[in-house]
Amino acid sequence: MGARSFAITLALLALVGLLAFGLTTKGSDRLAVGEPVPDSDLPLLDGAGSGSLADYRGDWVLVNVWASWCTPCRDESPALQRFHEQHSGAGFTVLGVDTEDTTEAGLEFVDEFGLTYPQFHDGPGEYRDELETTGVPESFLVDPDGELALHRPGPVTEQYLAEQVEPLIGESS
Amino acid sequence: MGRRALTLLTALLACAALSAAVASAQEPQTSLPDIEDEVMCPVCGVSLELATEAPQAEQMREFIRERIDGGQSKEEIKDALVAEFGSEVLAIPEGEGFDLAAWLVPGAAIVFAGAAIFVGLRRWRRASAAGGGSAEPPAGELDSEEAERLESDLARYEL
Repeated sequence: MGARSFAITLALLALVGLLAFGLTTKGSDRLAVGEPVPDSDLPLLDGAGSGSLADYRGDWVLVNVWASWCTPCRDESPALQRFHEQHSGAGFTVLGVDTEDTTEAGLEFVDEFGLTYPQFHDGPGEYRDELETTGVPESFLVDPDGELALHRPGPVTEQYLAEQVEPLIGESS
Repeated sequence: MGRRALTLLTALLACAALSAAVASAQEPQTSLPDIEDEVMCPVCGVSLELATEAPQAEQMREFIRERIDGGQSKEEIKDALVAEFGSEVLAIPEGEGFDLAAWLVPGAAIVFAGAAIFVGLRRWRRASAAGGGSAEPPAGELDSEEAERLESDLARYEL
């Protein structure tokens, strides 16, 4: 085999290897139940400093990723607020993450729906990427150890919160 | 020039300066189309001008319009967008830091490709000049045996 044939074969093998690597690793880094949930520092939506999911270690946290331009987020917000009112203070909180949204629009949304739970701002969408979300809204129930207990792509409903989330947070509180 | 004329001239100059200041405060310094093609719609993954119907794009346009109406310049508005969405919101990378690579790498690639073509052409011309007295027939010409075979083949298929 000549040097040229060897180089071409090597290049083809590298290409096939790269494709195989891409196919085998695709989607494998999606956050799974039991895995630690990323807890990067994020600015608070109201501009009063910053915070992190780690600040809530020891409590159950329902991380809700939303944006003001997202219609299903509008639909689920009242249910989330009611659930937060019913369970906050008993080792549980809803934690909003306003993603890829302007601060102004995010604050207007919070005001419109009277949301009282803490809100982070993820303008560049980097935290959303860390959570490997597929869209908005998306919710992650994080246990007191900071690990994923439940994942909900799409909007939550009163029924979902009562049937899926409540039994889990009720066990410990 | 009398004192009266001097007063009149001063008043005229003051009026001109005042009207210029008012005009600059009222007239927008930029326009939506001027900015739209230089920023990205992060959710859509395309420039804002191409993201016609996405809700986030519409929200970004509103954000830009408000600032245009407020008399902000293009750079001020782009800075505000970067503050909200990060530097990835810029469709055209900034000419500093890591983003500088986006300008330098293609330039270096063009220079490198040009140099490679130049060197290749020189070598090819030298090789052609040196191979002028070669015993082998030039490409495209047939030796006698091949010409004979071609003739016989053509004769065989002649109708």
